[in-house]
Amino acid sequence: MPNILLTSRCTRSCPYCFAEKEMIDSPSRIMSWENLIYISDLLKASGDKGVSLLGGEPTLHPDFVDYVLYLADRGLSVNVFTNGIMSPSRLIEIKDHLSGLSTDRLSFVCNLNNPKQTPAPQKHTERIHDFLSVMGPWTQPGFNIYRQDFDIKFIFDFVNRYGMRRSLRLGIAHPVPGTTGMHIRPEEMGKVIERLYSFRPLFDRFRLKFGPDCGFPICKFSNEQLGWFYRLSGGGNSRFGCGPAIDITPDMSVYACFPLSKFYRKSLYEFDTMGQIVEFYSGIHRKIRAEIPGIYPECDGCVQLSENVCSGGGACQLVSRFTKEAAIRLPEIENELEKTGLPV
Amino acid sequence: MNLRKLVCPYDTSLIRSFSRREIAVRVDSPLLVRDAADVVRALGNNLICVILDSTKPLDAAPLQNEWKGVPLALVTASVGKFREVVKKLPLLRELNIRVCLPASNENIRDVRILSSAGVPSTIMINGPEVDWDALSDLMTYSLFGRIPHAPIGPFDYIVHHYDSAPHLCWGAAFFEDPQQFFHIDNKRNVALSREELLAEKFIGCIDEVEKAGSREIENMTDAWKRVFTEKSTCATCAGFKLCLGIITPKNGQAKRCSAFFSEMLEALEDLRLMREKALAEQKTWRL
Repeated sequence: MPNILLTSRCTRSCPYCFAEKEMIDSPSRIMSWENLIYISDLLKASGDKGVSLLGGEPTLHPDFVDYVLYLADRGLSVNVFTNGIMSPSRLIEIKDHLSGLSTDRLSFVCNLNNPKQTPAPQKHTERIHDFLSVMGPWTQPGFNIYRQDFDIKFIFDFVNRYGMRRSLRLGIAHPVPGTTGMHIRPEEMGKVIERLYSFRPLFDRFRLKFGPDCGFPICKFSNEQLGWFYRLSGGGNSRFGCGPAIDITPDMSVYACFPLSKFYRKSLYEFDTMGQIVEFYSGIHRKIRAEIPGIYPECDGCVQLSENVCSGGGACQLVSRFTKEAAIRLPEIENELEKTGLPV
Repeated sequence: MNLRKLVCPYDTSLIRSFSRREIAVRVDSPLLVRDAADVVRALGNNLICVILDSTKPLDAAPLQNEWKGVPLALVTASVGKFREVVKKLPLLRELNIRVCLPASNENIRDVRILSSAGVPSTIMINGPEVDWDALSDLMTYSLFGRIPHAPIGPFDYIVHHYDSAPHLCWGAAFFEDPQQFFHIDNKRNVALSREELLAEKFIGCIDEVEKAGSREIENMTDAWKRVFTEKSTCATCAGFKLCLGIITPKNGQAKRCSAFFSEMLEALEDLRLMREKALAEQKTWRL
């Protein structure tokens, strides 16, 4: 499902934000109606059934409600990634105009930060509660892990209190090549998974599933953890992969996920279908992994990697490594890194 | 003299006086749409469409189920909020409707939204004060959109009639072509455009005009020739074949409309070639 970035503005400033560089480099741009129609046509022509709306904070876009209604009318299911912080008037608009859409046509992922570990102004916290009290049933909680001692207990309370969807979207804060933002390093993955497993009694008690975002390496789970993870994530949905997540910006640039927003950035107009875009960036991923198979030395020759069960961590972690230490054999990748101003 | 199509008000006695004429009947109330259509048909004329002059934007227009089967041109100043229009889209798609809007920037954008949502519409270009770049983008979308969408006038009219006419008056897409349309009032007076009708600038009574012809019609239909005798900048414009000097840009503003019409001519040529190629491919022998 491609991501449309509606605006580069955000109401929050998270310490792990991997979109920050992209947001700073293209401030105050917003997606126009003309571009949205072009993208909708492209998605329909490509046979896509759904789309995600991102930002910045997508609900800041002045036409946010109309855009959601438009995309839904075009037959696309819409998933909105929000921080839940919005003005009361915007919340009323959402309540009045979007709460008539069924949960299979409209859903939200509300990215929540632990209020103690990532303090935010009281007003922000109140607005998140206001949002969830209205749109809780449409909303899946989301959480980004950026420190080893992360605490997600508060999320179970949110889910119960606001009738949120019982599935937690868990992301790992990834490095943005060429920057020094907070993120989880490969050597910290084991401890992160340990910590996650320590919340098992709560997951079981509240019957909360979780869906991991890209970059979790399978080898850092014990057999016991894997069994639990497999059951909790709904069996067949277990993911340890990292495929290109196609982001489309307000100026119609396209790239494969935020951390790699400068790496092989293209114009949407260079492609005729979404399939072509996915194929192009899958090819880039293959080139990256031809340089370094995964984030650990043992990824080289790993059977899980060769059978595509695990991708050996996130591609952004590999590119980040190129910029620091790796000798690069493929001149195309080296040229692209230099072109985008990343130190090799 | 060929019989013009008539654009006339909804006046039963006036309509009754015509027989087997092609008529677009104009109403100013949504309540009259169905009746007007029925009267034109019942009195032995061919209904082109009902033209509803709406004082409300589309989002507030009281669309009605009973309009199904009535060809309708809804002339309105603006579309309004999409969040309200979206509620009307299912009915709009079922109606035989075309939403006609003046060529403001907002409307150029909204026409594209409507078209992509399956609602036919027309942008009414009445002068040089248009964002020609935005119009050019809309024209490209109309002609070369990636996936099927509802027609956008006047571009669909131009595409449809391009091959058949060396000079094409695309104003006919919104009833503005003296060779095709007479605008008449309920006293049977004839004007050659909507603007002249409203200004009561008549060329005579329809019965006389149709019998004897009219110097004004010739003047108006031959107006393009003056572009050359008066050495207008339009005389050397590459897009003249489409514009016919109708836009009459003020000094120094000719470049933008010229670029638009030239681009459209190129697009039409491309389409013509594509069509010819497709036709040639169809000639392949098959059972």
